[in-house]
Amino acid sequence: MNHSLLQVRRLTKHFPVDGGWLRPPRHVHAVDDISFSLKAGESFALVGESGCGKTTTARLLAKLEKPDAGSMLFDEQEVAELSGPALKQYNRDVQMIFQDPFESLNPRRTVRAILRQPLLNHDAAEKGEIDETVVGLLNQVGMEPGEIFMDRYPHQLSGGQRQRIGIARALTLKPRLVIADEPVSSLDISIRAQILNLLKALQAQHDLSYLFITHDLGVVRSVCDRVGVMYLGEIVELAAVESLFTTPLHPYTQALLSATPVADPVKARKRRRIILEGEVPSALDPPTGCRFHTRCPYSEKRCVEEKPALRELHPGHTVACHFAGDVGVDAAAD
Amino acid sequence: MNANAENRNGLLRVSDLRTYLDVPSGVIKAVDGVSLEVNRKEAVALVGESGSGKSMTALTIIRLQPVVARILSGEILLNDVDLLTLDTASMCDLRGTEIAMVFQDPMTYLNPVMRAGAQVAEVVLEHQEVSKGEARSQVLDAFERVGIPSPQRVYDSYPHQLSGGMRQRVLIAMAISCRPSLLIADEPTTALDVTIQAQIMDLLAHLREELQNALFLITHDIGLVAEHCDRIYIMYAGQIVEHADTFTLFAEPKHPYTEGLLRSTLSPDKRVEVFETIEGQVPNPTDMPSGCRFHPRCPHVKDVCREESPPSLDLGEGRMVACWLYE
Repeated sequence: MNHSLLQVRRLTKHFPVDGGWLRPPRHVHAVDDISFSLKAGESFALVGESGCGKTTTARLLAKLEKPDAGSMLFDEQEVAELSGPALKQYNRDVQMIFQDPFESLNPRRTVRAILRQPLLNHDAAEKGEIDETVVGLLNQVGMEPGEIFMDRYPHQLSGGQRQRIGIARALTLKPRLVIADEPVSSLDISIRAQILNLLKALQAQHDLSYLFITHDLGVVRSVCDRVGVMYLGEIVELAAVESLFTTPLHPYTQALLSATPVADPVKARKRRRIILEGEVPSALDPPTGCRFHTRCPYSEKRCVEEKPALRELHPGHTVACHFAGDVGVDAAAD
Repeated sequence: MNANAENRNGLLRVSDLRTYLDVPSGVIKAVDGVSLEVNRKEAVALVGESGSGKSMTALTIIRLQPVVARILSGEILLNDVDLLTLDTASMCDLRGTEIAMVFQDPMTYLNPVMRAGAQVAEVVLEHQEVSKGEARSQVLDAFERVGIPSPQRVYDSYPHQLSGGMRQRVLIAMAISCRPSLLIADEPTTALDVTIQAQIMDLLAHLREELQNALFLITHDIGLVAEHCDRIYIMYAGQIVEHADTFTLFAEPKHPYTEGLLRSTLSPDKRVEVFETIEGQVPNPTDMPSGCRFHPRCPHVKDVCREESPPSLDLGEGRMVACWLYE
């Protein structure tokens, strides 16, 4: 019962960048040898800053990009090898919700047309029942009564309502895995909470698994079960959500947590703050050894030379750092 | 109010400001009777969601509001000079030297075909009687002060060659180059990653210590404010609904909107199973609800809220709330 719905092993994607005359082509190391798994009914978050490869991972899973190496097993089947009916089934089982509900909805199509399309493409409803199904979906995502929204265009809806349409569209084909790429980061705070409640309720109702792609650790703690922290194309820490927040092991995770605003002036001013120096290096030419060593407050010679392997320091809590678990590195977690 | 007028620390005093925008579908009352104060050396926040009018308030204060805007009423006193009575030339003199602004998206506010250093030098040359060489060295100083690691290189770079964080630093350098007493920052970190956001907020705090300027921070992020500001104004649909010092506001919010905002803010310090939400959505700006503008979403709505707009109630100790619950 508790098997892995999705298993990602050593997934790698490099994008070539044109070199030029006499200059060899170079590669953006978008995703580099990452592994994680997701159980049925679970919410897994990939967290990181822009350029860390989290969106590329989502696009690989949605088959919008082809991986260079590694495997993605969905229900124990290799995603890259799917074809024919199995591929069609995969396309139904895995759906995506995008960040910007303005850009991911066709402005020239009505809500009805947007939500009908997947049903038609996959023969997922009887012709006579399509409208009824669409109204049902709208009601489910809190746009009640659904009938009054059917003939509206995206520009006639608010940002929150548009995101609800994006969610309804992802649900049309009764998926098992929903990949949500920053689903709330373009929304106002008061709307954000509404959408997250909706996503949680739908998960319980439909037994969905979520892959959350986000940069916002505030969302992660309340919405997800497990987390992978990405930095420059690699997963540097992988843990259950409470474990990650109470005992972050990787210096990058610690810095990320300390940089995330806490909505409580007393706590916010008491906590120890780690301000990282510099910026994320270019993914065209990632640093040797540990990719975080250029910004890490604990960096030593070994970090420059030797790439740290993922080690399981606590049950279910793995980290890629030579010194994680050492006294100095742990003290920063308070 | 009188006590405040004599407040020697007073720097900026805005009273009853109204900025309306004429748009094809009607009139947007973007700023509708806003009063606020910023004292010397203080960090004050104006918090609101998109469309609340917080940016328009800031733009009106520095008199860069769009052409479709009409200022119907109000006073903007900066050091007891009403900015609304100044002609364009005198306002230009004040911008940079007394009051400066940093914007959300640094790419939009930097000239893409001019080198970064030259753009900042232009500001220095405009406001000070200095030679080009001196302006250059002042800019390099400012670059160093805002933590740009290689000032020379950035001076000669075009904006597109710089990262988002670096561009924001250039913009901040420009804003502080003539040492204004008031720095307005409109969502200065919204376009940046969290670790860079932390760097920039840290920088703004450092600069405030060094240059003794006041900071007026416009943001939607109440978490950011918790850490960095002394006082908070909460804005909703063009009006200030609550004002208090940061600790009081977080400990006991009075206005139902503030309460809802605080409760629906996700924080990494605790796990929440079901989020409390503010139902509904921000009203259509050309068709504001009657009475209290928050009443359609308010859990404590009474009859009077639908009919009459609530007065700004002084709760003592500098606290203000605009809500019928406390009348």
